Amino acid sequence: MRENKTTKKVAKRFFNFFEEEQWLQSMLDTGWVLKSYEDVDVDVGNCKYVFEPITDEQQKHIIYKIDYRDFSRKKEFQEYKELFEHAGWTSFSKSMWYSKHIFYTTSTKPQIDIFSDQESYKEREKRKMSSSLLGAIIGMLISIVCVVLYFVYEKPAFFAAAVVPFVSSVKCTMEFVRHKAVYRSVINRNKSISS
Amino acid sequence: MNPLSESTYLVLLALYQQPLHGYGIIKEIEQVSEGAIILAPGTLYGVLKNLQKQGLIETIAIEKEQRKKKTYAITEQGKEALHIEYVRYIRMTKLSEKVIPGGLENERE
Repeated sequence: MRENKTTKKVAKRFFNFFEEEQWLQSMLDTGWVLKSYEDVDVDVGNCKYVFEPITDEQQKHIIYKIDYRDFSRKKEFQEYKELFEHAGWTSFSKSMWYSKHIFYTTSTKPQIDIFSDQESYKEREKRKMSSSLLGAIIGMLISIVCVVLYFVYEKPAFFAAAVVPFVSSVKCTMEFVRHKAVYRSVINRNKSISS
Repeated sequence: MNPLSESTYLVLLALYQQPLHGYGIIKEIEQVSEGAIILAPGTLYGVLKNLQKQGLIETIAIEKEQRKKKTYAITEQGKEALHIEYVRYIRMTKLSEKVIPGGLENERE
């Protein structure tokens, strides 16, 4: 495929939305513009980004921002995307199963952001933390069930089956801890602004 | 009840006169504040979800206008919450005027 030569694929893990936004911005500075990303993956938190070279001047002014939110209905997801669209932000999310939503804009208005208060940054971390915690608990429960089955039936296959959910549970726990640290720093920043 | 966040207050204020769809709320606040306050979409979305959960706003179906865009309306409970906050703001302003001599004019310098 000829197209593959001109695109750049990067798999990367982030525990901080601010760092992720900055990284996307730095990719842009080196001439690579985000084309798509895969958020739905077995490997927790490992995101696959696809970049392509900048083709026109306007792309250099792109600003990336990330939101984190789950959707249970397709209609809600559509409305969410539409609201951002009206405000000048285009989403990269391919389906309602995406939880991490990367948006971009080419607007050059100063201070342009998808959030206009500190509360929103706190809420973003909270949503991420609760979904990481849920992932950690579910992964742990499944692996415990597998280990119990292994002891009951003495089939090694059950023990092997416990590995994947256990690993993902550990990764989710790591995510939770790291995002909790970000959450705290957002609160502290809040305090330093108001004082 | 806890004091409403500034963004939450603004959304209730925007809906006070008439029901609006999502982006209409941003525009209304921008217009009334003469461009000084522009609510960002991520913040607005979060505020709308919270307000719905608390029963302070509700979605209403408007007769197939603009291919059934979701429209938000303030509830009686929402009006009450807005009123409580409004009174609180007035009280705070009056208190500030008493303490800061010359009020706003003094602040501008």
